[in-house]
Amino acid sequence: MDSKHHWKWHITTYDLTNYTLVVPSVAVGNVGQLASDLIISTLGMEKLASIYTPAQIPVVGCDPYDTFSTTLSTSCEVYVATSHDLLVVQLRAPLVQKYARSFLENVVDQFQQKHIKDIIILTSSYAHEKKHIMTSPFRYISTDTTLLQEQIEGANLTLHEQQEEDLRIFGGGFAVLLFKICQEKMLPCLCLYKYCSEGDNIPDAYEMVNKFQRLVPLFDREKDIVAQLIQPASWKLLFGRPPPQEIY
Amino acid sequence: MSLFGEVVEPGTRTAWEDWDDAGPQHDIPELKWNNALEVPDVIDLLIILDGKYVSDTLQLHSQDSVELLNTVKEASLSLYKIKLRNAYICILKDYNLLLSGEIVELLRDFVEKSKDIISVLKKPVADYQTSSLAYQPCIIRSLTTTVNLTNSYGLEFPKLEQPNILSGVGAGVLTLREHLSLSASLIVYYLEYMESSQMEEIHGLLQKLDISVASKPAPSSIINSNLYI
Repeated sequence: MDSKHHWKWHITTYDLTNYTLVVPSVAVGNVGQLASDLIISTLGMEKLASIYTPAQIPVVGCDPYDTFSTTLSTSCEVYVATSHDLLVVQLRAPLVQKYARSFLENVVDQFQQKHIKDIIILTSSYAHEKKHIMTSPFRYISTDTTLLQEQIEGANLTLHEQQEEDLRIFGGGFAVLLFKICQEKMLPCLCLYKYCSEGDNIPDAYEMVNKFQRLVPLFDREKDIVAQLIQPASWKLLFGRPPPQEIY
Repeated sequence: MSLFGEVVEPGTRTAWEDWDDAGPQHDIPELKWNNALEVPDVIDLLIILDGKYVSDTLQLHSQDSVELLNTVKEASLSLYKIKLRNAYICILKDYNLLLSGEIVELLRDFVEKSKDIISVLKKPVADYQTSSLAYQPCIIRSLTTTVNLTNSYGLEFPKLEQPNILSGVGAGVLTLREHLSLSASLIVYYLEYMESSQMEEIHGLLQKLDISVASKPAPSSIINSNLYI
């Protein structure tokens, strides 16, 4: 199956040693993906690679971050910001469970070979799963080897409450599977998630980026983060086109 | 209409599998060709008619110019060879979107060996996202690989603008061809009436390849309506 994941590298010259890889899980409200979109768009990240894989429902369109571009954009693309030693794997379609493990292992292997330092998974969970309503909507789980322990404490993050023997984040998509793969491959990993419901999840994405900023500073701390974030071109018409004039 | 308290998931979630359910549930069938299939080393053109509405509109009735080579029942896939040409037509009717990647893999030999690939897709015009207030009953757009088709067959349309995206087998084939640095084009018809046979350009392409196409007239929606029952 590994041979079916086809990587196309657009830039091969960067040394990715000690980079942090961000992977959004396709989850309730798509909060991880929306937050990744904000990070890519705001930092003006470059497209490093794209991946064709039968493990994903195929999706194509033009570059979502540039209205005037006619470059093809596909289901899975990797973006890089050399100024922040940051990589983001943006996923634009759900994974097919049958092949998910093979694909995620392939992604981890590829970047482990390039000596990245850790992975941060951004995901979300059903709001109705939140048991203590007065607490922060954010939770985290991390491997023992996480390099972000100090930042986690600084950000006052609440640890995921494990109700069952097996680790589960309801509505969190493949996040737990990827977390377990990182554990198996001894790669430091942090999974940050937010309780939310389906709807307009743009505010959730802003909050997620704000929380992420506490762990990995990307933007100017002196300024309001919301004012600094740039929404990608693809977010226009997120709730459909204007009503046809003929109906009036 | 939804009931109070009912959880209504957006349409985009329909392709999701349940990741929360414990235990293996990989019930996606293994796709296999019905007969043994020989793939030539070079194919001039592969046409993919993607989805029920395209295949219903462009019906390849029994004729001398095409030959049914193979089928895949689970994917409602039929593969035809154009007899006098080194070209193939793949027709996909209803298929599970989760099978898209598997179908592309099944077609992989054809995808890798074709000089050009043209896929055609039909979608309702309501799916076309634009800030324009002007109404158009038919909008044709395309997405193409970085490498241009060796022969465009006169099928040149404006690029599909952001934030519109396309999914399915046609999208998968385009993605794979882009990754292989080969040429392909995905043409999408946004139509007000999905049953409409308003696809003159594709009719023209098939006629150039000596294929006669039966255009199915738009069925009366009254028959399908509950209103008169």
